[in-house]
Amino acid sequence: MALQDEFVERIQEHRLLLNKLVFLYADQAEDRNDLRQEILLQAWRSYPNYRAEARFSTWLYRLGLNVALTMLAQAKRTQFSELTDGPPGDGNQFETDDQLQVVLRQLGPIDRTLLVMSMEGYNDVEISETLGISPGNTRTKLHRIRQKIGQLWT
Amino acid sequence: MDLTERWNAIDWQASDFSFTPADVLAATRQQSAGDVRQLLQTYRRLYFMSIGFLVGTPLLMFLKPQEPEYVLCIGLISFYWVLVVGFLTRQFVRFRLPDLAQQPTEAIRATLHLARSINAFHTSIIGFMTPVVFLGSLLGTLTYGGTRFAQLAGNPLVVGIVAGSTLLVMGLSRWLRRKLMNRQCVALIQRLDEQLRILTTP
Repeated sequence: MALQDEFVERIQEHRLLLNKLVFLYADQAEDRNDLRQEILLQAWRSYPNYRAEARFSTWLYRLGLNVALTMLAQAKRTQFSELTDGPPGDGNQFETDDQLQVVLRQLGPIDRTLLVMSMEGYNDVEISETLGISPGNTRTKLHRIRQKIGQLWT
Repeated sequence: MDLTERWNAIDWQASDFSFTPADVLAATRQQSAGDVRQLLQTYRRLYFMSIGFLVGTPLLMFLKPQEPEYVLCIGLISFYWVLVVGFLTRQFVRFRLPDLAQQPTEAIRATLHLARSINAFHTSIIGFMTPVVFLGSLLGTLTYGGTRFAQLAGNPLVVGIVAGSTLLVMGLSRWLRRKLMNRQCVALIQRLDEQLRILTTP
């Protein structure tokens, strides 16, 4: 199978994950589309270097986080509205309550990724490899995040 | 309902999007345009740097213009830059970049051809000229202090050291050739090769 066909197939299999990623890092519908395009472009650029030892989904999480962090850095210049910085968007494509967004907005992108990966059932090793931190640090961070959320979540 | 349940309750299919091989090709074209520009920029920088050395090296002659042997040694080094700049000028004058948006594959091919011809030239000239440039630098340093060629040739120890170190540099030039190969250029060339393959695969 050609590389591009293989890539398209993998992306099709991980469409829901891509939706989660853009929900996680961007608030406005337009920003989500831009972010999705950028993630897809970067994923395609990096795909020849993808090693099958890691799950494609964890690779995509790492890539999505990196793209989001890059776009966040640009946000200071271009006013890219992001969950942490911007007001809740009115172009929300997902049916969700505001409370979830309010809680996620209290966390930085890395902590948000950590929390969501944990909710999605990834183990400490996978999360730590995705975020580039030690498994011990992952557990500590997750514990703190859950404590923080416990105060916010009613 | 806790946070995880709420997260899982979201309908993640609500924002569906399509992603087809045509999108991959469009992304590849976009990426290759950027890579072509980046690669050409790298080689242009190399060209301007070589012109800088070509202009700068002969200025060293003015340090001791009355010493013909010293001037000759600087001339040896300048000769290297004359060859490099001459070749690069010829390549860049001949080079025509096809429209990146209209003819991306032709643009990639032309860029790869330019990059490979410059690399091949560098590889051969470094192997051939490194000992010459080294010898020029070494003898230039020795004659700068006022020592004559005849004096150097009359001292077997000096002749031995000059010949030995030049032979050593000849051996090292093979290693140097690999080291001087810009890693960024190598990676870009590999990527453009892959993009060309994707864009030309039916």
